[in-house]
Amino acid sequence: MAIDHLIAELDNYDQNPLILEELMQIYPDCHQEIQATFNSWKELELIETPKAPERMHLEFYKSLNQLTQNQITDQNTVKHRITSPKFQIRHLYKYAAAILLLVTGVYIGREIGYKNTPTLIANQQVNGAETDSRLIAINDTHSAITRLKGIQSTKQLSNPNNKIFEALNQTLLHDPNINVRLSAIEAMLHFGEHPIIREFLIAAIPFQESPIVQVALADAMITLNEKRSIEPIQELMQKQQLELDVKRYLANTVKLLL
Amino acid sequence: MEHSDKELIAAIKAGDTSKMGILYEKYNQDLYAYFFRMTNDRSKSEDLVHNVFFRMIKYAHNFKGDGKFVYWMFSIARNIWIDDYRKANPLRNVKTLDQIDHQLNIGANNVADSLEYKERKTILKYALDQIGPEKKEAIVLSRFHEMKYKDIAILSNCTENTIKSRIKRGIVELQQIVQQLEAN
Repeated sequence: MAIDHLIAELDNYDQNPLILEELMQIYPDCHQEIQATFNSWKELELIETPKAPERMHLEFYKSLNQLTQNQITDQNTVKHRITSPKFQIRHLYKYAAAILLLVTGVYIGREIGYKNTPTLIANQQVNGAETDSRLIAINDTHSAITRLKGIQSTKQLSNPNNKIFEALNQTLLHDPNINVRLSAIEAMLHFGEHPIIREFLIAAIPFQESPIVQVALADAMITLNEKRSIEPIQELMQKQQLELDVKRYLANTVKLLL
Repeated sequence: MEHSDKELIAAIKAGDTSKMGILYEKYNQDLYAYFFRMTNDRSKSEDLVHNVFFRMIKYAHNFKGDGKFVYWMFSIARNIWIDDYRKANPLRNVKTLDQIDHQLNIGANNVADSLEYKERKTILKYALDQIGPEKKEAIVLSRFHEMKYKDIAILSNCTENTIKSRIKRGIVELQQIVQQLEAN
């Protein structure tokens, strides 16, 4: 009876830490039993809480990125179907009306919201020979998926210009979403033969605070076999707040690059 | 701008799966600790954490928003853990967690002789691993994840009294195992 009462009260122990004394008074013959049960329950806090390893995060973001990109591809497939000649004319009126509303909304939104926002990321529109790309201002009021789409679309360019590279670099340096930053690294790797991209990737190393992005950049340096990255990696390793797992990973990266 | 869990899951439901990254940052450690305590296996716990988040993407439409998100997440985590336990023990033909309880308790007394226990926390951790999973889970959710008995009951599809009973029996078993280990 006394133990049942104690167990019931432990659910609200935070609100009533004096419950042990109270129960001792209610059940004077059960002091020892109550104390022993309480001690066993209290002592459990000695068991340490295990910390999730860095590789778990890395794997998760890799898989999530993959899933998100697959969805973008699926959406593009839907878009292809809609624009195909087989698309029935009777649907055109309602879609035209919806698009008109959307365009009006976007126009008003831009007029109101984007006057003072910085350009963070590139999207591109291909004009004929893929040479005319333009930057569209996208800040973090856009959804992450829109920003990811923008990044992924740059990979379709066979001859991207420096504005595209700079926008990818700005994304890597400033985007608040880890997925988007990882996607920027992936897109930059796609253009890894361009010297300016290599410069950007190397220069970004000391400024990354997310362990996942740090590891992804290290992987990128191995893929590009970029020995000039050794110094910034070592600089990053000096940071006190660096995760131990990441430090080990970076040390191994340096060994591989040497 | 910070979004609530419900807003995030609504965005995921609408197709913006990248939002799961925010929920992951918030809850991965909690889930990892839960799985590690239930399985005592680091690598498996990592996989199970991933499964929870991707299952939440798949079944986001099932979240009705009438309860706390965290309990929905833990109900998915719990199902994943039970499925995994059953897969890992096919020869036992386990049908209910009560049967798992019984089987684990049989083995608990035999392992004690083969280990050395120097620290109190090591003893406690070992003892907690030996009690039946239903009792262990009730203790873990209450003690380490600060869940109320009524919420654990909803999660476990049983009554609040059943949860109290599991915690009481779990603590009694824990005391017995600790005493046995200390006597050795």
